[in-house]
Amino acid sequence: MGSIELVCPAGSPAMLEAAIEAGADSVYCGLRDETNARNFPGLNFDAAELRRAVNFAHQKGAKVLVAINTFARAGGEERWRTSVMTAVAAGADAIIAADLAVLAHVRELSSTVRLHLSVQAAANTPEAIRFYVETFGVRRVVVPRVMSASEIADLIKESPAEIEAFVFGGLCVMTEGRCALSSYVSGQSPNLSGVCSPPEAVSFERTAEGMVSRLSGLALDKTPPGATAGYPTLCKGRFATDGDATYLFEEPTSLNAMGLLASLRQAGVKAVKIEGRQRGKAYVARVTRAFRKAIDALDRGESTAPFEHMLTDLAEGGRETEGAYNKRWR
Amino acid sequence: MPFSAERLFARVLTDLTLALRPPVEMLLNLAVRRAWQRSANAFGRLGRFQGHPYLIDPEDLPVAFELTLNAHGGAVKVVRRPLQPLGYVAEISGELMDLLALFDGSADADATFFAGGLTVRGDTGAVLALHNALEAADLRLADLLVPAALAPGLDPVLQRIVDWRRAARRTGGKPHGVH
Repeated sequence: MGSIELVCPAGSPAMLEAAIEAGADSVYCGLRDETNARNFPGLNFDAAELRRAVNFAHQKGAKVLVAINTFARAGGEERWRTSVMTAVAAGADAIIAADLAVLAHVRELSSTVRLHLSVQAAANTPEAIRFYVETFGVRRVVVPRVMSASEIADLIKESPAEIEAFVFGGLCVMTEGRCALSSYVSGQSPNLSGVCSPPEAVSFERTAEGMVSRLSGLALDKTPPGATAGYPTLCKGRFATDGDATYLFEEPTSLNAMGLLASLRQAGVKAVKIEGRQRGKAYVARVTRAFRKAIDALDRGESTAPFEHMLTDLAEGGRETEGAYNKRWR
Repeated sequence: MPFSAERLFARVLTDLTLALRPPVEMLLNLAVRRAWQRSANAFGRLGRFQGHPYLIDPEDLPVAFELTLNAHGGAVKVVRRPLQPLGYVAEISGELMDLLALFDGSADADATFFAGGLTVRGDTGAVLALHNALEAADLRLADLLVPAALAPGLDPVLQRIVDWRRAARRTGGKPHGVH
């Protein structure tokens, strides 16, 4: 492992193997239900697959982090308890959770399993992090994608836990764990159901004028022929205001903070995370390989510049951004 | 409908290809069986879409394929390209090289789709479930294209050919960046 841990996504055993073969230090995954925030059809692991995945990863010197990071539903708590049990029994290196009840249950079940605080918990102050550390023994916190690089650096100075930051992939422009936008249209949200814009509510229509992307029948964007489109989410929809159709909240672009790796490392970020469990093995192999090269270059005292534009074609809308990390208006 | 030499040619080509259906279907069904044997749980990932037919439509071939999978295996049929929706749970069309690269997991489905390389009709959830099931099955190009005995040796060669063709198309016939 280099100076920064590279944490990569896995939506299936094939993807997990591809990530590890490409140089991931850790892989995160979820079980096949709404207990994780990527509850898509056909995605994720069952108990037997998770056990085999942990064995495979450990043989290769990699770690498996299991995301049980949605908020337990009243009356349906048993499912979250079962997921925790399954992850612990499989020998997972850490559980990534956000819900206080899930964190408490993990700690009751095992005093030793490592706990990472999910981005879904939206912890962005030393006080919040201290609460999770003192109450549940949380060892690492994944920080929200709405924080700037300087805010993260300030946070690390006082944080009693390791900090992990997203560096590539889909970009949430809302504070995770507090966003309910998709539920207004689809009835489901990432926090409770594990899906933002569930695919069964998504449709695409190609016409002579371009492609119309819809969520639950509502047109969210229209892209001309030849232009690269994005997955329709309300936060990245195009809305008419004052007679102009514009991206009101955020344009459909993907995060790529490879150029900030050096400053994130200098700030004390312990691990960097790639988003995209829903993408597949081709995606994870390419992104992991590129970030592995960049981190290794950094550790040799070299620039990451040669690797910074290797992944543009994988970005949503074919466009990349450094997102809130370079937020200059604060 | 007015006479069109192009349409007549296409029709004849389709009929000729359909006449060759039995050996092609046999090869493809063996491929599905091989993928199922390698990862028996993978097709179960289709969940409620098990047993529902998908239409796979390579636009540069004269015929299309009907694919039905379930936890116990699956079947592929060579079919005439439908002129109107026929009740498939989803239809996926694109160029053959893109479809092959998607099926063996060497191309990123989102990037291919959003760049306009694929057209999807029907239930988007069904398409996602199929993609995830095929990824988990770890299907390889050689599974699809050659008899089992030849598959292990030929897979890297076939992979290079498909990568080369896709790169050539992206760069207007001048492949580069494929090593």
